[in-house]
Amino acid sequence: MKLMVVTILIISIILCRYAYALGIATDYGSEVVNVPLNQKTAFFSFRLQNMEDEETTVMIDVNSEKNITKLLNESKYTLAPVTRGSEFLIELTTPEDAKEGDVYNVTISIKQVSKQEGQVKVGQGIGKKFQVKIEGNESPFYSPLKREESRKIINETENSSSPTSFAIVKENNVDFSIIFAVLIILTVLIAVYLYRRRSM
Amino acid sequence: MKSIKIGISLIAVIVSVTMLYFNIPVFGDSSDTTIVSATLTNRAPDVYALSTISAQDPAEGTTKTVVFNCSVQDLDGISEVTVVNATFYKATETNRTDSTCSVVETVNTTAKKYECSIDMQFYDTTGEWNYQCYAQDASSSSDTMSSTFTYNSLESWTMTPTSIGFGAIYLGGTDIGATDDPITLTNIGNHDFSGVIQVTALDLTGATNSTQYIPAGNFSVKTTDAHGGNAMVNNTAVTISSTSLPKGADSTEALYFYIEEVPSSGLSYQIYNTAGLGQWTISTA
Repeated sequence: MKLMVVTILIISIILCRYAYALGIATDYGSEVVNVPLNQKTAFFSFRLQNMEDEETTVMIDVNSEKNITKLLNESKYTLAPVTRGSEFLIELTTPEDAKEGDVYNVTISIKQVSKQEGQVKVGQGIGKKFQVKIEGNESPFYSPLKREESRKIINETENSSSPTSFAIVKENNVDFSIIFAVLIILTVLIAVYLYRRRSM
Repeated sequence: MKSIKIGISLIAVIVSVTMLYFNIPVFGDSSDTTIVSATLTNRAPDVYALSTISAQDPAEGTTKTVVFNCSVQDLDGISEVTVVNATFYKATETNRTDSTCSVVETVNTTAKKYECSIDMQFYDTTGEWNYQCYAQDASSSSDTMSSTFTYNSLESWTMTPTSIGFGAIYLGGTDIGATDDPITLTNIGNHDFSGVIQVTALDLTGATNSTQYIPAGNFSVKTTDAHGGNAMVNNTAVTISSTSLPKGADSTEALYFYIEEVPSSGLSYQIYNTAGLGQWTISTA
């Protein structure tokens, strides 16, 4: 058995079994970022989550066609244990020669830096792709707070314990006390008018 | 006298038109002079306000509690309202509900404000969700009010273990599985990673003599426990065939690492690892 007498190779010994849990959260619909032609810069944000009990260090790399992106945070970042919502910003700069309809592909690459040494380490990487689309000069942004025909949005003043400062109320929510007050006033006015007319 | 009649008629017209216009309930039928009693009809509750819900990020591998307020009135008295619940819903998705919203404020004798709290799952689909508040009174009359909020995207997965080994191997050895196989990936977000899982391998260099190495191309990765998977390419992301990691409550995928063949010569007895050139990476594109 020739194999039995040749050199033994030891590749690694596993000492511990960590788990990685890295997440990247982005706004719904952000796969395409519309930027008006006359708007020189725009921003794309994403949030990182680390739900492990230990801190983890990540390397963030952003690449794009025509180099239109710039990460506004440090490219090496340590996430605290059980962290949600660490926000990162990418500045998007419209190229000088950009024209309406141009599309630029952007790739975000996030890699965990392994803390283990001397083994066959296997790290985790998450990639995120989106496109930057150049649009006409009119603002393409829409309000996420859509109005419904039968409803209007008002400031909520009833209770500060509300989760938000706004409330959506039904438009046909008529306050009857106001109606009755108006009726009473009208009645009094007519009565006064009649009384005066009679005494004339 | 004529003026008084005109005045009274005018008042009657104003009152009648106003009550008709606003549909103010009347307690008798004025056209029937024989009525000596009237029946009080039940008035349905009215859900008249909802607080807005800002866009929500899912939480890795767990639930995200979303809270909003709902205001209800019942002109027969708020005590008539027996049920106030809330639902998040979206086509093809499982409804998320709060079967009993809790009272946070009594506005007056006919109105209360409720707080509804609903857990969204990490794998619930990203996009626009409807939320609805439902109120019902003792007579089973009811009212609802609904609006929408945005549930964001979360690309997240776990992997364990985070290192592998092959134990003691021999020159010329073939089809050797890692002693720690498999590395298990678990989807803990709401994104489908099927078909986009990649592995980037690097040559394993000797810990003592770094000029000797086992080429990355001698390793393979597969979703089943067998050799013959996708061959690795040094420092290049290789997409693994037939991976399935959709969003879901318990969505996992296993990756099995094999040495297809150990070089038959040129390697000495020593440890070979990633310390020299760097870690391997499992990634999702």
